[in-house]
Amino acid sequence: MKDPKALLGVLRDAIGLGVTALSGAGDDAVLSVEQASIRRALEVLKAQGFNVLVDLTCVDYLGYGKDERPAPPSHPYLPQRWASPPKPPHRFKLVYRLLDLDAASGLERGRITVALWVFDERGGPSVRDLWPNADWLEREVWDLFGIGFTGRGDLRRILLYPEFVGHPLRKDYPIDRRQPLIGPKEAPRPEEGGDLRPAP
Amino acid sequence: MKKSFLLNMGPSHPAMHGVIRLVLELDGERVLGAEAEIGYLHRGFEKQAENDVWNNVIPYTDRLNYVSPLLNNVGYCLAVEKLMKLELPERCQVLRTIACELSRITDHLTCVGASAMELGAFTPFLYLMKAREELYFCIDRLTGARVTTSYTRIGGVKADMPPDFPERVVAAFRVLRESVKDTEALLTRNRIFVDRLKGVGVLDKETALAYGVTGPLLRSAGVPYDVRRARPYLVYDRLDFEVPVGTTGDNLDRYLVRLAEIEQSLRIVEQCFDRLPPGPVAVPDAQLLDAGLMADLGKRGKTGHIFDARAGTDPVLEGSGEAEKPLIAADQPDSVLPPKEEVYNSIEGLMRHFEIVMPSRGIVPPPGEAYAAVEGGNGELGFHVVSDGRSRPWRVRVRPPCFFNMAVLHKLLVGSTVADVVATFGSINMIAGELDR
Amino acid sequence: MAEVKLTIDGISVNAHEGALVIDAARSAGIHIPHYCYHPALGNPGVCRLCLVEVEGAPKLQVACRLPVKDGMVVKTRSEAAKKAQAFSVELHLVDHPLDCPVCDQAGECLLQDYYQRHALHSSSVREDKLHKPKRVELGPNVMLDAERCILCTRCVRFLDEITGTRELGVFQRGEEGEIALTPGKRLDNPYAGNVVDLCPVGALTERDFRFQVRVWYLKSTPTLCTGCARGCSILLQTNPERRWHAGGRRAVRIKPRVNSSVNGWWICDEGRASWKAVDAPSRLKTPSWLKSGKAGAMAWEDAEKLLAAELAELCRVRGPEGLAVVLSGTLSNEDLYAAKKLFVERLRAGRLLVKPGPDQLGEEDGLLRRQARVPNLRGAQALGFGAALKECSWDSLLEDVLSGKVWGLWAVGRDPLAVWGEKGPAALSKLELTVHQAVHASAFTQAARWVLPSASWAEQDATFTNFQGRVQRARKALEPLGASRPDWRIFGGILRSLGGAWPHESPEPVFAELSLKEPAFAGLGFELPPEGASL
Repeated sequence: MKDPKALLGVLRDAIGLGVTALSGAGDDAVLSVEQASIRRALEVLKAQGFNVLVDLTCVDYLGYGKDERPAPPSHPYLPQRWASPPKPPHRFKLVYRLLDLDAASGLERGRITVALWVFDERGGPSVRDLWPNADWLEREVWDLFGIGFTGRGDLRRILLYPEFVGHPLRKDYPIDRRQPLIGPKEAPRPEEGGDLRPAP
Repeated sequence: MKKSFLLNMGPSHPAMHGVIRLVLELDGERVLGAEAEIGYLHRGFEKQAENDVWNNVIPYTDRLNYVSPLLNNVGYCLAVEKLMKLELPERCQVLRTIACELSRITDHLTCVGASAMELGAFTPFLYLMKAREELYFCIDRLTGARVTTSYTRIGGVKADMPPDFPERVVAAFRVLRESVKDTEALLTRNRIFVDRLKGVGVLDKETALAYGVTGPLLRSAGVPYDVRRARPYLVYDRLDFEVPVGTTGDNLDRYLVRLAEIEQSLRIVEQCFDRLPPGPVAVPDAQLLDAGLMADLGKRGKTGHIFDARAGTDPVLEGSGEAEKPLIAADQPDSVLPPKEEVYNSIEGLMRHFEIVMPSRGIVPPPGEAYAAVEGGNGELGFHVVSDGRSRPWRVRVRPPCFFNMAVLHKLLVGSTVADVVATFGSINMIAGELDR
Repeated sequence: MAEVKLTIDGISVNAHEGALVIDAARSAGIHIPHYCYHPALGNPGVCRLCLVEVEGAPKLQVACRLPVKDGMVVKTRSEAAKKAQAFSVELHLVDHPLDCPVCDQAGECLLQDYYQRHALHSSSVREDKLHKPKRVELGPNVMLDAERCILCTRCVRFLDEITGTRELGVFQRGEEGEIALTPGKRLDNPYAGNVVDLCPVGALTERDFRFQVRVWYLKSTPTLCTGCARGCSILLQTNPERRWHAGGRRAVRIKPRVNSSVNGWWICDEGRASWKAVDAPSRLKTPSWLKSGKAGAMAWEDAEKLLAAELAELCRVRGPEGLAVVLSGTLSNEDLYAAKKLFVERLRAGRLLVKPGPDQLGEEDGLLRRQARVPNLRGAQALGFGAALKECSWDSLLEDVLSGKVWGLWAVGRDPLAVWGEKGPAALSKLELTVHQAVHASAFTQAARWVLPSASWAEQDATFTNFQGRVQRARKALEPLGASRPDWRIFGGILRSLGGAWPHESPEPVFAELSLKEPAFAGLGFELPPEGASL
């Protein structure tokens, strides 16, 4: 079982203070990494044996912990059950979930989660050369959150249609927003040739 | 340069697997490249989950992988219970395990049946659908619905199983084993079937791991990874079952792995029935009152008369009484609905019920996040929930196993023919509800 | 006053000497459960819920009766305090009826909330519940359910200390104690509705809101009441999605907002009922034009063009001194500013009237209500109406119309027929141009040549200046009904059609311009704080 503290040590050696914190324990340990060092950190982790990218997702913290109950009239304010959680450092958090899987025995050698706080749409560097499934995962994060990934071409929508306006999983996208209507389009003529061959 | 042309398959096409679009680059019949365009069934599950209270997200999870809805229910609830650190009673966990395995069987039956039908074998499809019908009947008795089950609640399950449930399931399994046996007899050594599937759509171990593929696809490629074995949840660590593993990773191996998994799931369910802790024991001289009458008496203030009465509710409806409640739900009064007797005969129970159900009150996990994974029909089905200490989830992320299976599809299709596309695509078991959410 | 330092739940709190522990805790963000204490109504300490453990005292202390002392150490969530609070809730619930499914208070009920947060016990009461009067009409808008009452006596104290009318009292003793009307009285004073807000449970409920819609479907918008010149801060609660509840009404309820400078904790009953006018059947919805006896609906662009053309023509031929414009104190600052630009600066209308007429005056009392039943009279004065811009009177206006000096009458939110009485129709028939711009229909609507629908106060973002000179924000809670528009937009459209400059499409730039050009409003921004800001 990979020990998160040992991984923290390895990452500290590699990127120094680029890894800012370790929280949680065991399989739920989360390493927080800075935007400048995320690529190096993920390369180091891959070299440590994390051969599977289980998930890559994003969380938008805009308005996190806002009180939701209006005060009953003529009564002093009735607070929420839990105190307001601490304000997050930035608006978006990218979550990389990694797994070290032993192909022979089918047992997990360890899991680690890497959290990357980003404050705008520039996101982080693409890791689709490290784990090919990051291609689709990054496209999904771009599609739903508008977080871009550098170092890759072909960042386009995957779940929504190309004419969609906005990034719906952002907290400032209201759930009942209507999209502009788009009419029928001419179907593209099938061209000769194409570049659908998978990259080597 | 070889001349090639683009062929569009989908989004609506008769290989009935939901809405998906494949753009194939063909040279004659041979596939040079493929690209999958997904998202036709994107319904905004994750956005909707942020807009509804914690328990109300569960019906939306039914609609994710809609051929195995109970797995989604269980996965989501496990994630939230991990966040809330709830301990579930043993009977509840066993019931959830039974529900999961029944769903897994329906998932595999659907996949095998549908992909056989696409290759022209109509009869096995109907045999397996007959078997699936038996299972749906059982699931209906347990949860109240065939497909939109919403069986679990945060902190437990909706209701205990009806008393005749084990017999029903055993009878259903008899039919099921028959049907599967007949199907195997028709398909497994069928020359045409084997020729169509063997060596087609080969997925090797390295590619599978690189793409994060899990489930039957990974196991058919030779990696014996099963979330139930590697990260046991519910009662799987106490059950005896095998994890079938393939060798070549082609379509035939996937078919064989799924059939073997059906048998293993049957074994699991039978063991669960043996291990099921004793059911609800009602107090013998408690007066049994019709639920409506009891509620009426309570409303009129006759709470003294009905203090010791038992509420006669249908056990399959959300009618858990005092006898059943401790068995099927965690001991967490602020997050679990009270037993019906308390709701009808005391103001406290009634208020507790209201507080848990009313929007902006109710189940409130502490701020934080948690990730829980179950073994879905297609692989590791993970739920990442983020809470901000309010009554609605802050973020619910579904890690859909189909997504990763589809991501690798373009590699499997290269070099095969158009006819093989149907076979390979069928063996991936792409469920659009889970893929697109 | 001396400052005192004490510790509550480990947090160091500064308080004034003589402050109560419960208030000191609130300033530190710690909420001690209570029913009977209210900052405006005193602290009888009867509910026994706010029990806290104080170091050095052998028994638990009642936080609302305990003044702070330097160095006091208070624990509100210690084991003893929690047990006592839970037990108090349990005792309150012994005879409480199982009414949640039919009680309007569900969703904002302090019994429910405190039970869930502090008690969560199972009932151990094996007796039937005691019955008390259940559907007692205390007055025209308050209903009593004596079984639900927990005898916190807030209502009794309100009617004793604030209104002084003493309609309610506590009768009987012990378990049978109940709130009831003092003999011979009805709960019909002008502030009766406030007891509904005060009641922490569903014992006192609003009759207008009874069984209409559940509170968790309501959307609350902080805005102000436009019933009189005080402009009390309120929450307008609307039912945006479930139109099959509350008879399809959009606006459902008004609750007061605390504003120490304007209305304190209360609102009057007239203001409380002012949501009814928002969706009344008398609302005007489309611009229309009387042509050969028949009223035809028009689109706004056409109406603006035609009306502007008619105005221009008449002003050219007959002279602008013959145009009389009757404005109202119900118009917001933005509306009045636009009216000024159109009628005073552009058209140079001959006669203006803003003063509230007898239909816009009401009883004034020492508590909240002001005589002027219009929200923006002071705003109109600040913009010059009645001072630099001379006003005429209704009588002189009637004379001028009858004598032919006035050819056009543009009445905004006023009904000349109601004021002029029998001479009205004769006067109107002498006018060449009559424009009726209002929220609701009145007798003038039938007679006027032009009818322009205005949006109500609930349907626009606007500012109003109350009698203290405090500028407060009305916030938009609903979309304008039908084709109605805010009045400033109507004036602006006419001004634009006349060739004037009016580029504004939303109220913020209107207020920005107003604040720049009008010295009284200098330095104010459109996004005012919740209590408003002074001129």
